[in-house]
Amino acid sequence: MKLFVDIQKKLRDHPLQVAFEIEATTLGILGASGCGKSMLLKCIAGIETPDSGRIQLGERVLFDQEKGINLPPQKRKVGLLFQQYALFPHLTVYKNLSCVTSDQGLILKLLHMFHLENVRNSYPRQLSGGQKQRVACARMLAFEPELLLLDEPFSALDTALKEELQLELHDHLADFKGNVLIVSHSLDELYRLCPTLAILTESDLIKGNTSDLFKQPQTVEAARLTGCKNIFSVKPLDAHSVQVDGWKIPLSVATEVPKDCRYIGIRAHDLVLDDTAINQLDVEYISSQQTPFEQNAWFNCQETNLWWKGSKQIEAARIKRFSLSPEAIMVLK
Amino acid sequence: MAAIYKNKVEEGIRMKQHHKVKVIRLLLVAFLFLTACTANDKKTATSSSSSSQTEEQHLLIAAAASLESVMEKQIIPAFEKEHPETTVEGNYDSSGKLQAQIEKGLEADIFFSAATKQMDALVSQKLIDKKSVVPLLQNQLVMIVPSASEVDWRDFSDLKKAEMIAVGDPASVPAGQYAEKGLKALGYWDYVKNHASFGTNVTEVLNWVAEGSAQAGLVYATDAASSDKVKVVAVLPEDTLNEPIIYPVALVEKSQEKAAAEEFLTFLESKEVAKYFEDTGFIMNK
Amino acid sequence: MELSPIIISFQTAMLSIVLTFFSGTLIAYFVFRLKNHGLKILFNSLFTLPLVLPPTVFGFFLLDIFGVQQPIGKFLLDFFAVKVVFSWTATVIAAVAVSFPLMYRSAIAAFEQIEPDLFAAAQTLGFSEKKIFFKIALPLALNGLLAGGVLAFARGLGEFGATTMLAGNIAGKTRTLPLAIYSAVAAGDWSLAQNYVTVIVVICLLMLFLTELFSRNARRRQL
Repeated sequence: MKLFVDIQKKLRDHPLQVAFEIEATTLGILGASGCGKSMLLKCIAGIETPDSGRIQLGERVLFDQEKGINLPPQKRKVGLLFQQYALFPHLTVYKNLSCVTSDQGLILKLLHMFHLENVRNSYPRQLSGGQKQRVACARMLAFEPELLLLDEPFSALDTALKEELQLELHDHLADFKGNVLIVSHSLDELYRLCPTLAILTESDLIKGNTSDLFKQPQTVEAARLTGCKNIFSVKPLDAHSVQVDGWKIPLSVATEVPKDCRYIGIRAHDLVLDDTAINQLDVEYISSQQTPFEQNAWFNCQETNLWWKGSKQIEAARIKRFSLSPEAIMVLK
Repeated sequence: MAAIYKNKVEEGIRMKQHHKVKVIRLLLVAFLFLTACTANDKKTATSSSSSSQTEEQHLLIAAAASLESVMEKQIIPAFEKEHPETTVEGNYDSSGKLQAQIEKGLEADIFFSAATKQMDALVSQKLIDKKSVVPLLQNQLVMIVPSASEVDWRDFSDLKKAEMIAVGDPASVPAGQYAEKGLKALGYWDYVKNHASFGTNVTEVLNWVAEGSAQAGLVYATDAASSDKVKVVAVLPEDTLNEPIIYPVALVEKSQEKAAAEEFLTFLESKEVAKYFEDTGFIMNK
Repeated sequence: MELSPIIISFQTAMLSIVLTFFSGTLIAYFVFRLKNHGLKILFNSLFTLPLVLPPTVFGFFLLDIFGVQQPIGKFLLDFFAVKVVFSWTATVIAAVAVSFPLMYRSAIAAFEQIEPDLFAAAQTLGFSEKKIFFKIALPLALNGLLAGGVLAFARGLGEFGATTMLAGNIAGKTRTLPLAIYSAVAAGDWSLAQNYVTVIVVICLLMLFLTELFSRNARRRQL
């Protein structure tokens, strides 16, 4: 079932303008805080109303400002998973589901699917974070919606639980026949769960295949949002090489460099320590910082700061030169 | 570049919020300052009055509700004009309530009752010196109906036409006590008692009739005269009551302003004031 | 001791608390669910107004509406032979009028402390507005509503100023406990006044006790 969204809504700081179309996929929505990701989901679910535009799910028009159509949320068959789950605190897990549907068989199936059988008579306040999230999912599915919207589904959970639940959710979503939209600011989640990705910046929305977008985010803002740490302004030299402003040596780029290209991005992980690549960068060590499983270090390269991420086994202070493959350079607008 | 613009916008918003906070703080300070100033003014005013205590005097008069209009509008202003160093304050209510208040310690200097019962009670408790009691005024009890009433009202027997009758509570309101006595003598009290709304003061009774909530009522002639929303139907004959309706006035023993109070009592017995009373419907008691 | 004020007050308080509780809850919920902020502010001010007016002033307003010489009162009298003033109904009207704002404000506060997402969630799960009210809003607001009910009951039971204006002080018909107490005090009958006061205190304690029981139950079923 196709989901078509084209809406505009004035928010506090800037307008929300989103237009996209998806079919039978899980779409991740990545964006900075306050850019309107949650508002987007609320508009699709019907609990907020856009200023103008159209939302269509399959054959049904949910919202069309020009035609004066604005279906109430009750009629949209769009499931929304809230960040804080919004479970009904005065009802047991079982009743949270049974107040949505009278289909006993469906309720039992959902309880089984989400491993909630032994807490079916517990109240939300007695449940752990992970259990609450599962109840919220089960309740959402109890209404048999045609579209699922998940608003930062793992943000309220601790790290240990997250990965486990992400894998579980991935399995559940595989069974779901409709579209799923997941809003998140966690790159890991989006990469794991969403084959398609929409990057929502202040200026526009970039949509594409997730792994492709991570490789080539297309704009500076998108690059930043996808975690790119090194963004430099450049001058294009020819179709496959650029010169970073202030650098003496040019860089060889695999993708074609358009004549109006002004920026490139280099991911911190793509700076490697072998001598194979064409691009070789001489660097001076500045400082480093350890995180549990890897290392961050900063280097000076021709008066520019370079951020590197790599294995903790390497002694960062000893690094004098990095190798950069032409495929790893991202051409940005 | 987008980042720089964003920063500037955020800065602008922060400055606006900062400005708002500043303005609110300024207003709060100004408000506190003003209240402090006015509090100071009050203090200096009262301190100056207490310093000249020998000159300024203050009288509190506990008077029946039916006296309020003539006292406030004519008598007290006239007295204060002649005696500029004295301020007079009136507290008006049912005589029964005033009696209770004086018993419990109300600092009244003069008691002006609508009946002798309350005055006698205070005299017997030595709260009032019998010698200072002056039976100043005479009033009459009348039957009133709303001015707009189209029913043919002639005399007290027509009370039976009223579904609801407003009367003062005989337990506490002198006007009510007179009504009970008089109507018992005329033979209508039983009916009235069963169709009565008992007011806790005469003004309340008057208002009930004026608003048309009660079809008839019994008040003093002076009350009836004060409102054009009611009209007098009949006057209670004097022989139905053991004694005429007397309004006695007297000095309260515990008064701290006996000199000024005596001046006021003398003033009340003057010819000038007699005219005010008569204009309102009272009869001077000879 | 004359028992009629107790009976009258009891009947008046019972009927008026039922009327106040339901009208206060429903109207408060309606205003609570409004999306238009301007309207919300208007209604809130309107329904809170009686709270800040002295009861006698409020009695005046009621008289303006129901007085036999006023348009509405006259209409009721001429066409339906219904006279509101000086009737027992007037005691109920006065009690409801002064206790309504307390119930209203308590109800709004009770609804506002419910997590807002619950309403949105219920909507996306297909709940009709009626279902949301009965299954979500009401159970979760119950504690606050009961607390408001107690306040409103006490206010209605103790109502005096507006009552004398509208209902008069008719023994056996509209003389409620507060009016009886006031008359007793005015007459100097302190022991009678004290007896009546004791009755009011006992009734209020009883109500508080019952409400505490109810709310404890409600709380157990909640968070």
